[in-house]
Amino acid sequence: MNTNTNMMIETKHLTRRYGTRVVVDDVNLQVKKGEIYGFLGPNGAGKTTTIRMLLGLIRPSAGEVLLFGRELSRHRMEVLGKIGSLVESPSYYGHLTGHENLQTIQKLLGLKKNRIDEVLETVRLTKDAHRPVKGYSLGMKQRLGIAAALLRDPEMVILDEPTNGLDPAGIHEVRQLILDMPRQHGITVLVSSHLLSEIDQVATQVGIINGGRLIFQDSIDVLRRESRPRLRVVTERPGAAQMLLRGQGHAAEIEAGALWLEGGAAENIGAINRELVLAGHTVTRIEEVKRSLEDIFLDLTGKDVSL
Amino acid sequence: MTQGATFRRTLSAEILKMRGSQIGWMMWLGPLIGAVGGVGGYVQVREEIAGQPEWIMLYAMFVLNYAMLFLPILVGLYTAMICRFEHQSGGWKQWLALPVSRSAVYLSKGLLVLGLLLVGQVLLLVLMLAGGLVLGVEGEIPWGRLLNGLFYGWVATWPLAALQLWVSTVWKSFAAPLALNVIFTLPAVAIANSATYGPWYPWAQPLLAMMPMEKAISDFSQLNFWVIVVGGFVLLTAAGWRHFVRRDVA
Repeated sequence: MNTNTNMMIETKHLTRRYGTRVVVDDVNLQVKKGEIYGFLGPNGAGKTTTIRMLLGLIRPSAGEVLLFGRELSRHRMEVLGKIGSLVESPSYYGHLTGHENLQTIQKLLGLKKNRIDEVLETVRLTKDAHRPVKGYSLGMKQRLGIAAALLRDPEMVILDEPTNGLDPAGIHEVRQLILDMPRQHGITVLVSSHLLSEIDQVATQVGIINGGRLIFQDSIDVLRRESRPRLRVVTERPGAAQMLLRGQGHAAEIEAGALWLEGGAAENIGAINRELVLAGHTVTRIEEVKRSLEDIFLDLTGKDVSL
Repeated sequence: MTQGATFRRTLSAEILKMRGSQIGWMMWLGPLIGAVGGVGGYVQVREEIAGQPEWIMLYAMFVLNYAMLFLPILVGLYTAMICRFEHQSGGWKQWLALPVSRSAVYLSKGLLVLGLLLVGQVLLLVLMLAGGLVLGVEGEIPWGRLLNGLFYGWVATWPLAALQLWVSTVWKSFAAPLALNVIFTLPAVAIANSATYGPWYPWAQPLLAMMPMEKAISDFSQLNFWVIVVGGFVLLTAAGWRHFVRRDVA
């Protein structure tokens, strides 16, 4: 299989500096056809700057962006024609109705008029299509933004924090729309978020960016595999217990006064317990602790970063 | 797709965006104020100017009010309004992430501003004729003089429009370009009186172009004046355009 024809987004050493501050640092994104690529990172990590470079809104200081295998800098009009986007807060003209807002884009791009009704139907705004957008709720504005992104029947959609500021119902709706894109329309999606739970529920691939650097990029399953449960053992003398277990080949660590054993240890709960008791330890608690993706994310990004 | 088609689409999208905005009535406001001032001024001086060609005098009173103050302010108002939609709710990033040429966006906005200004000149003419009829102004209507004055006055707004469009696309604030424009408009009448500096001052150029008295730019040849106007327009458009095409969209 030729990987190049399947690569929807590829960045090579993408870098953006503001003065001496490096906001995006040597990022090599790879988004394949048909994926929902979750672009994850804390606020200020460089997500939006990266996305703006993908859309040609700002220029890279170094490196390049390939969309559909073609250089953005040379084929801007052509490749942007196949992409729908929603960058940060929704964009709209408040004095115009939802329908008129989409009409500006339809006219600009010379699209068929009936596409407007189709996408309004998709995001379920048909009922409110002829009201001025300034009266819309945030969730409705966001859905209108997604409708605008879908208007030109794109091959790929880039959504920057599409659930930001939405209530749970709004988040659910947007999530559903994202999930439907590859399934029903064959659209590849890149969606960014600072919330792991958001990405976890939709993404097939994940890229994690922190401090401008891409620190993880693989399928969500790889990320999940990292989350195998660990065993937490509480005894009165953890130091002595650690020495005992290490002597038997278990990788035991002490954290917060308890012993922690890695992944595979879970199957040997009974054996470990017996060893400890026979050696005279009082075991007050043994439990399997699942690492959430949140924990893994924190490990990857460094603990000082709050989400 | 041809350049022409791209440009037409961009322009029609821009026009659609104005629908239901404040621009509709604003277009009337400037000429209306100019007309009220013009009619009032004419009534005041009517006795003194007996014997002079009446229509030309009426035109002069209209222009004095309008071109000195309201027209330059209107230029800034239009450019600010036309970029306001984009500044307000993140329109630039949505608009410029579309497969559309930034040049087409910038130039169609500029063209739209010039169009609005031309409509304003026509409205001023309509109000002038209506005012003249109501006041019972005597004599043949000097069509040539009136149309020439209004047309050249329109052309003389171009450098200012180019400058204000540049500023309005760069500054996120709606008020800042307006304030800048008003500050520079206020001394325009004084500067227009200077044969040396007047022709170079974009805020005075419409007044100089529209005043019927040739003496306004007598020390300065007509040709030089128009070279400055057209040259200024080309330079300011090129600078603003280039900046717009290259800048980061935040």
